[in-house]
Amino acid sequence: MIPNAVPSPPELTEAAVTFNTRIRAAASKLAALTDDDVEIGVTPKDVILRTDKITLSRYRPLTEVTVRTPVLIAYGLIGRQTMADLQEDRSLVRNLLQQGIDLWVVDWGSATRADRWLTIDDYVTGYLDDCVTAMCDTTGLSAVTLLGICEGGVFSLAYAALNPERVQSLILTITPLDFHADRGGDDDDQGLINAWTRSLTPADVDRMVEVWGCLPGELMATVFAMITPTRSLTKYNLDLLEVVDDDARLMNFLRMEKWLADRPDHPGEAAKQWLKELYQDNALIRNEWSLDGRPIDLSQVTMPVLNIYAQGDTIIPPPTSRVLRGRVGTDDYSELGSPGGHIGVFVSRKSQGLVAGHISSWLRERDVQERK
Amino acid sequence: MSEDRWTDFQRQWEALQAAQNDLVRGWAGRQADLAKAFGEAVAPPSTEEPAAVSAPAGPAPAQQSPPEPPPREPAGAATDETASPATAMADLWRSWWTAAPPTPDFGAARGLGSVLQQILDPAAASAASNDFVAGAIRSLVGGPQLADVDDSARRMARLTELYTEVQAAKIRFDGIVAKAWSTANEGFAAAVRERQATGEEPLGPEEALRLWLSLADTALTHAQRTTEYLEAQSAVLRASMDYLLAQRELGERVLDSFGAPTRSELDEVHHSVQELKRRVRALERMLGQRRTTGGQG
Repeated sequence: MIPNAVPSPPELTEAAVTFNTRIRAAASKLAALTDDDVEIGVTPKDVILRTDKITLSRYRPLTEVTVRTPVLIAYGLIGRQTMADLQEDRSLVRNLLQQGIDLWVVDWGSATRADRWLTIDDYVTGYLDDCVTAMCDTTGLSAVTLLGICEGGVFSLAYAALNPERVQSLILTITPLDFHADRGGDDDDQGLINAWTRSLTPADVDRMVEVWGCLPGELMATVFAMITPTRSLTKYNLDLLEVVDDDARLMNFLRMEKWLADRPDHPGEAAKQWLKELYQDNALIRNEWSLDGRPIDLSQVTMPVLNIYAQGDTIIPPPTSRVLRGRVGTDDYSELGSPGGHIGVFVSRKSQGLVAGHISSWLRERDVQERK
Repeated sequence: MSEDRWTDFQRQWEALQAAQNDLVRGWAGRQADLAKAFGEAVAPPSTEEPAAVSAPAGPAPAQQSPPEPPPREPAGAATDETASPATAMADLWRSWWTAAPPTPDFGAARGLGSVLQQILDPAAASAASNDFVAGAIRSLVGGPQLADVDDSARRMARLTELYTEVQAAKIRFDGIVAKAWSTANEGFAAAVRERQATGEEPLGPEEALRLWLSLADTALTHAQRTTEYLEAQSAVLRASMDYLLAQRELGERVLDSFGAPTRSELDEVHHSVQELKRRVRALERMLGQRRTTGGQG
């Protein structure tokens, strides 16, 4: 006998027929779309610098520039900077451009096995420094604003600590800083990546890099998927079916999928530093981290700092991010909590006006006309 | 009673899962024993070898006369004794013996059977020695014949052993994941019973699925944070990495015999290139600083 609290066979049959009909309709609709139809990161920009696999671009203004100091968006190596410009109506890039910001972006490219030996030192004191130099040369200014995202926030913070005279202002978004501050939380989905990384031994990390030469993007995608374990079971059936009848929602879904699918490999030696020195040893917040043999002393971060975190972030839980007050060498430190999760800072409807509006007014208040 | 149905279903599902795990775990254990026995047996002759193959379960293969392999046991005679490394080794040896050519033939393809036959029978190796030089030349000129056959065989055995370790680690991990799914099952059954008890309407199909997924998500998310889960998962990763590294080592020996570059050599080249790039960058900076200081320094 089937318990009467679950659907009866006729109801199940009817539901199955409806489900199959919708699946067929969805399949037909998807078959008519090509990858080119799903565009992300399309706000116009011009390439200013190419070095190795790194590209520095400057966005074309959408309105009159009202903040003179150029702002460089630096994403991390896990994921792609196109998240900040996913689509026209959900784009931090477009919102900032419309606020009169002179906006630049660095694309770290797609690392391969040949890039195994790249370190975070190379990215921060090499490539990021190249970008800042190119921006200063182009604009005639002696300093820029860095807007770091996630791992890119750590790069930006480290650069600012090493070169405070080259950074006018520093904006960190969803940036992990105290990698052990996830401990003690009550939520099982908070800080899973922190716990997962600590479950590895340093030798495990070395083995992975020895085998793959990198931290594979696919592996990180799997770890991220662990945060919502049943999501992958419903993503391409129930969830897709919910949006397939609405063209706008379907395209939103597909754009996000395109971004998720484009997960680059993380160069091996840099991955060792990221996982062992930061996630495991928590060296940054303890002022024990160094790059190129130079200590990353947080008290050297003397420029204004804005730290934006996501209130519902399960990847970078807020306690791991909100730790700089009193640790950096400036009193001009403030935080902004954005509603939503890790990626929601850039793509959620609620955050659209909030984040860009706050950043632009914060920058305007601290902008200088000429520092050279 | 519907409650009994759910409870029965739950119990049967768990029993099935446990039985399946036991079965696979047992198989993996026996495979590991077999691989270890093989690894010991195909190692180059040493003072330890007779002990490895002369276990009480059967006569030592090294003392057998080649034309007279031990009789096969009748089909279906396999018992728990197959778990014994020595017995497993004997079975393995018999099967290779049957497959191997009756006399050494260096001109023929070298299967593991012929290699083992030569190791175990000095007379056979002697008979073949006249062809040794020609065989050596052929191996140099004619292509990769794996000159160090004994070592390759041992490496292959080690690889098999590591593979079984990966499988064993996976089984342990799967068992832990299965427990989480079981918890979700229990939660769902309890939720349905509760609705039934309070006289609520049955859930619609989508509602039921959403409830099930929500419970599964909670159970899995909780399980993922446990030390047991994390340790089992990292054990899978560790075993897999060890296997892949051993596989690469074996592959690199083959590539080397072709004169082809190996992964390790390419890594070394890339390392050198990266170091050179850093030196160039340092020089460029030094030159830039000299220019800004008017050529001083």
